[in-house]
Amino acid sequence: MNEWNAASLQVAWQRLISIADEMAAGLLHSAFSAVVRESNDLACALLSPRGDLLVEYSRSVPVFTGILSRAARSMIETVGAETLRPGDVLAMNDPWHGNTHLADLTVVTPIFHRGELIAYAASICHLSDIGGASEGAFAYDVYEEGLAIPPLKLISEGKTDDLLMRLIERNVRLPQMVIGDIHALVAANEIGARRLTDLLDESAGFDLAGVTERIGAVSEDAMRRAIAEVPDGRYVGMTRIDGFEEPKEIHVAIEVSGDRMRVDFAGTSVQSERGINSASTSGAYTLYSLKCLLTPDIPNNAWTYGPIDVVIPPGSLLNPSPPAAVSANFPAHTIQGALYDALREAMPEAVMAPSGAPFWVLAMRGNNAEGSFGGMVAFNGGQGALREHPGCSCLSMPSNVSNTPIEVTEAELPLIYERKAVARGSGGEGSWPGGDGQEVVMRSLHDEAITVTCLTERIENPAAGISGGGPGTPGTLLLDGDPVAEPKGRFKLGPGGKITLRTPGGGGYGPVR
Amino acid sequence: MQLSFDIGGTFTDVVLLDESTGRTWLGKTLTTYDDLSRAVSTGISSLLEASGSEPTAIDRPVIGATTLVTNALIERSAPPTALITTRGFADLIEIGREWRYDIYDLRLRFPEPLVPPGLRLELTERLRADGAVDVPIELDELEGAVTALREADVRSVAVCFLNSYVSDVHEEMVAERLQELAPDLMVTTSSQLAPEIREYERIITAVANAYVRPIAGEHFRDIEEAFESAGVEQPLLLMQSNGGITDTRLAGRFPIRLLESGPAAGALAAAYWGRRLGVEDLMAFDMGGTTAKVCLVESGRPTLARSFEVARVHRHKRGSGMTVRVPVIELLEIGAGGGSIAALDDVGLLGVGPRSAGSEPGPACYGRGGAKPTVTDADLALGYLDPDYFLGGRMRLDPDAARAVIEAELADGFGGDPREAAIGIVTVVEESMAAAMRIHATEHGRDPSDYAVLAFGGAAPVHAVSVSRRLGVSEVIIPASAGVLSAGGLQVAPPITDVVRTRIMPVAGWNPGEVASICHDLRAQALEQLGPMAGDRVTFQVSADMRFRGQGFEVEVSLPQLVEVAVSNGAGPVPDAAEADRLFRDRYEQLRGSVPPAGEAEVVAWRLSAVGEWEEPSLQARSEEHDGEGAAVVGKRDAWFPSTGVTEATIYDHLALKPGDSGSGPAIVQQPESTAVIGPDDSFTVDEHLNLRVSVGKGEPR
Repeated sequence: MNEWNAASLQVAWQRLISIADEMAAGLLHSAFSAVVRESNDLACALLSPRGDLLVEYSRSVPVFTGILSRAARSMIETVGAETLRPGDVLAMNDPWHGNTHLADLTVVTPIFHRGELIAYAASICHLSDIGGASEGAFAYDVYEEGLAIPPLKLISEGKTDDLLMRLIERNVRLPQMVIGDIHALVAANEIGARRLTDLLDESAGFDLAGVTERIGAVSEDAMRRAIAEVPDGRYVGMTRIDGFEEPKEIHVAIEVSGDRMRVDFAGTSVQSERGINSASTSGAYTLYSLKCLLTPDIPNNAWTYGPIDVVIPPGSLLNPSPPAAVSANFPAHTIQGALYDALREAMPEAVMAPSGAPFWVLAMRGNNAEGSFGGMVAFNGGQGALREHPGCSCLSMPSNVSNTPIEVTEAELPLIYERKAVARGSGGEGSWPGGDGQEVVMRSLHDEAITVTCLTERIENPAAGISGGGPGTPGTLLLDGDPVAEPKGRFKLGPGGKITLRTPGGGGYGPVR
Repeated sequence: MQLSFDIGGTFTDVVLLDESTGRTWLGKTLTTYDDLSRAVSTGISSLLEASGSEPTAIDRPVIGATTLVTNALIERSAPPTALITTRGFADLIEIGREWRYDIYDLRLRFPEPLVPPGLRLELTERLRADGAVDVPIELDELEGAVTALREADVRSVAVCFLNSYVSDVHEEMVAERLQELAPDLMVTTSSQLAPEIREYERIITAVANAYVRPIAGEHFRDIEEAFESAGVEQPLLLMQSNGGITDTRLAGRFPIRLLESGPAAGALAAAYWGRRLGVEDLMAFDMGGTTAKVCLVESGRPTLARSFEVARVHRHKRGSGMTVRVPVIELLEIGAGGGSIAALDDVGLLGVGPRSAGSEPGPACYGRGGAKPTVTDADLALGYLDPDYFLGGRMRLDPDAARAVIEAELADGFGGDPREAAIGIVTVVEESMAAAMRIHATEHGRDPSDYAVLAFGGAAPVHAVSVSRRLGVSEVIIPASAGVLSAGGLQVAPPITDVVRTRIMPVAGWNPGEVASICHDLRAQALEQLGPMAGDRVTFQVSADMRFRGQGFEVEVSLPQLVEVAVSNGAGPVPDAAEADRLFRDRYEQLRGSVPPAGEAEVVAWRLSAVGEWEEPSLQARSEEHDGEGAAVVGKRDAWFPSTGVTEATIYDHLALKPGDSGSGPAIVQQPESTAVIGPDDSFTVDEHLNLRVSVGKGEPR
């Protein structure tokens, strides 16, 4: 099949997407990590033989699909494409090989058909644990953050690397669940590999290389046309966040010239001494945020971003030099706000005010009669407003991590919620108001102290409004009624102790009328 | 004689069956939204007249399916309802799950909560995850709540407390006290309706039930009055989404279980015919004007899902509706039917649906002003439909209009070739059905080629053979009368009730005594719900939702041994831990492909399904018009097929075919209600019930 028309390309494209969807269904149903199964913190994709993202599970977490191409290419290059054999599976969690942070594992499986490497299946998700201080922001370097796995063959021609598995088992707090998570990732890729080879066997005319080329061309062309509609010019924007040891600023200049766009983060604060730096996730959130404005309806792939150059100064918060700590890379979530601030006049119909992002996380650990227990709970803030669209309350933006049901948390951890409510009025004022954050009160039922690691933001610096809209209300984190001294640190929650938190509201759009 | 009706979204069907002869009369009228019972009333009178029967000849209960519940939740047409929940948590109904169903769409919309802010009432109480009381309940606060409800004229309320899936003690206390304070108030407790973990879904389910309850009661009374005035002296039974029937007493308590009851009847009919024909594993494929529906039938029974998403509010997207936890025949819905509009998108790709031209103006070929190309237009342009024999000749189609609109709107995407564009429409629509069916089968741990396809409903027989070829399916069954087939679904539905109990039990801590007692309690609850429908011979099925500890999704494992335990009040032998573990691992491997290297199995919930005493009637597949008279071959027509291009096909009249007749493709078999398209590599025979049995050849995929 050499000629594509409006139907044949659609059909071929959809078949590939449905393979990624099926991989994700497998991963979701078999993962052990609570944030995967309850909060959908995962991505699945098929990649081209060069490692470029071809199709993704349509509800993937944006940052994951944004890093997959680079991560996979780095893995293939490190291991050596020429060494790949049927039955091999690659794994890696190294931020300087394109991964997000140590807690997420990227697994890439080469797919062979009639002896030829035709594609890769790739999956990534949060593991139940990776040792170290991986769930906090307080580490000083990446070595404190847990076990790093460079690009390796986890499985060689069907044989699992027992040495690697034993090392992982000994270095994590929940070995049985982590092994289950890894098994789920490998199994998801197997589904992808099997479905793709089945497709090629059943449909003799299915031209994978041809469809890849067409998908790429169509997607890139659509992006070029969308950029061409944005008036040429240089647009600047920024956002300010709490940071760790000091407030940090993200500055961005977007140059639109014809059908190309150059995004430069010059002027962004230097990297932090602690774990809030963002390595590969910065580029991912930049491209994701721009796609939402420019080509939201076209299925995501690597070619979409051909016309966009992203420059991030080395040594900055968004491109730290090793061995920076990167575990709590959440400041990257606020890139969306800075980009839209820059484009507020060029694309007034499309941009959104900053959201009460990043989402907050409390990770709990303790010991009981059966050994140790642990778990993480996520809380989202309010969405920023758009023109004609007030922000939604308590909505995960720009990430896509749902809440963990209260009953699931209470069944797994010795905690009880006393309140979970919309923090009314916490969204910024405006012609269209920002979405509200939430207020949560929880109490320990444990007879010993629970160690709580917290990841919060926008307690000092709210989500700003846009085009005259007001800022959202900043968040608060209280322990037994008093503000927590280190809201990106750890504290002990005593028996009967109470945590009260309010997540930040989203910014408003336009002046109050 | 037996009477049944299906009040659907567009049409209300009424069916009269004479069991002694198998003769069936069908009546179809437009659904009357101002009073849904009126179309039933009209239908009964006209069928009694057509059949020359007296109303007293109807000597079995009348069985009905109704769109009332679905429609009320979409249209928000019912009066306001209220929620009583744990203090501190009134907003959960609004917060939802905090996630986005489309990551690239910044302007998502979510359903407006069914309960307005002023009617979300909080009560002081709190249970812990183990069922222990953390905060004692303050029942006195209910007096103020009742006053508030009276002032707002609320007649129905949902009660949902946190952790009530573990212990119903507080919800039951509230129900009891409300009964004293306000005897007329209808109370839905979440622990009775859906005692399953995850509070948001349970609240939504309880609230949706409370919301539709008052109008459901009125609806049933209206229908009963319609019977009365027609002189029909039989009680009303209702079809539930789980494929079982129930009486108005139970349906009045749990009307949310009537969601999607009409489509469930079609699936039941397909399963029935599968059993009659000895084809126990099949995919029932129904394609109407705006959507197509697929249901898997395994071992003669439609598969069940445990939740259903209703009333999507944003671009028909999955995730934009409300997910209620009720057992429902698993119907996969695809937003593509005969009236679905085909259009080129921003990047020049062809999309079909979910927008539909409906019946007004309808496809361009209807000649009623439709200016967008649809699937039906493509079917006509490719020669599959006879312009002079649509709906049995009751309507003439305009092929030139179809071709013109396809050319004008779509030819750009096909190098200017309108025929390629028509082929494109059919290809896209068939591929999207095949994709959905493929995923559906694999989710059940099966290969789609394991099944036969049974195709019914206007557009399905046109596309079923080609869709089947894409799936590697080798047999397609096309009934003589799709209308007669789906109407029969209501008559072959047994009384069923499904009950569930959440009790997490690791296999390592397997407690046979407790397992026996759970089974026994579930049986008692099911028998209470069945009431008089139980009869003298109830059959049970018991299963457990199991997973590896730490996972969040369960696998349903059938535990047939526990049936004996349930029936004998705990006396039967409870399977031991090793047996439960083995059954789980086998099922897990079948569904998911492989079992994790380590992990402990646990049960999360226990389910019991009870079927009341019931005798399956014997249905007939043929319609009144099917006389086997006249010439079977009525002509030749050019039609397009993927392997041979435009080819002359033989046209058959299904009404004139006789058992044992056979033929080979390319062929087009016309029925008054539909048209079956059979390709050059396929052949067909006619079975004793006058169904077409198509043997699907390999052919060439498009």
